[in-house]
Amino acid sequence: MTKKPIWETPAWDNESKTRMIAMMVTTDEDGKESRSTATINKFDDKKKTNPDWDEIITIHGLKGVDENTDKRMAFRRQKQGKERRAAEEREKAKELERLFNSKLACFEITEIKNSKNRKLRSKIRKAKNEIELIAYTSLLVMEEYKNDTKESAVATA
Amino acid sequence: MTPKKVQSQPHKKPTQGFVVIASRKKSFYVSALNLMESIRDYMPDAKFAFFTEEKWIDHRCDDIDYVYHCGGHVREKMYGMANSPFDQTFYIDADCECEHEDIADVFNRLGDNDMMFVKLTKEKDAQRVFIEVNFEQGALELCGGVCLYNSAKPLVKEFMQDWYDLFVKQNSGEWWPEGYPKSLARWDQFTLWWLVNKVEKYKDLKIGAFEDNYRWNWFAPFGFHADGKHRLVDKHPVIIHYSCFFKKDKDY
Repeated sequence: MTKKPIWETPAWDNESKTRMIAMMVTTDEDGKESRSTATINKFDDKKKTNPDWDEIITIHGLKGVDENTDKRMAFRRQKQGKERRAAEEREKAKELERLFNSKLACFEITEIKNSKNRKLRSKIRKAKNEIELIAYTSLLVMEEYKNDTKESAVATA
Repeated sequence: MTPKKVQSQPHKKPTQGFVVIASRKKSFYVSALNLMESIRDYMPDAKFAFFTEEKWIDHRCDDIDYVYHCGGHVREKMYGMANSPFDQTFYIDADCECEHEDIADVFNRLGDNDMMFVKLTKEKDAQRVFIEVNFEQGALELCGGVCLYNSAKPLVKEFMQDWYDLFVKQNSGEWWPEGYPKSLARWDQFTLWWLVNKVEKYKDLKIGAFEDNYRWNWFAPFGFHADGKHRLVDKHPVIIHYSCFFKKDKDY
């Protein structure tokens, strides 16, 4: 027969403190322990106090549940922070990927491909973001157009 | 007796240059041109040997010191490495870019090594890229993305040629050593491991690793710290490797 469960680290699960979340540790007749997260409501459907609730409050006290809640919130904030940072990193890595592939595509634009302007080509390569990339690419295309127009004018004259 | 004056022979400086290879996909050709130009941003007098497929060669290859035609095998890179025209060679994968002036100093790092590689390490950030490093008989410790080597030494060139020949056999299923996990057959790094660890004639080759390791082959998926600095390195990387990020199938 399974022994009576042991409640660990209970914490408030709502603002009105009528619901808790706790680790329920049960041990079966072979001594095998199993752990699961349980939600404990203060009242049942008939508005009677849940005996598990009373037991948890008796063992851990309201102060204990408050402390666990604070710890839980701090852990959650830390976890969310980590997830946010990981998402930012992933985004940064994706930006790097986009930038590199866009850069190669820019170097294949006919005017850029044929340009000998090393200074602007280098600026394109070292662009830190898509805006810089577009700016330097446009500048070089314009330069090449200008040169082309000048050469055509000289040829016509 | 007056001592006879001996004319000292001028010391011949070894030729030094970069080997870059682009085969199979046009995107590698485009990226290789960008790589060479990025090196020239920091090292204007850099010399290059470029191995690529004849069909892609255009006017942008005109100022490359050596241009060779190569085949379309998945690992033409080892063929190029074996046929470097320089005495000291720095091979770099085509899907890389140079981002630091230390590139100009790379050949001084060879010292008395025959070859130098970047070593694969066990950090969590590194494991994002190197998914299959350990196996029962050993570990794929050397990364073939870049290689600095003494190409004037015949045994080193022979090593590169054997690396190519054996990988072609490995890749086609013609060769595979008994007892080794088949999943490793797709990696040229396994062939490299085999030659370094199992082939008698190469046991005395001096193989080193770059002191600032990943700076010479920093894979983009390694990621960044919150402050924007590159992970796994103390200083800005010299070579950025786009590898898994690179759109190989993009049709230019």
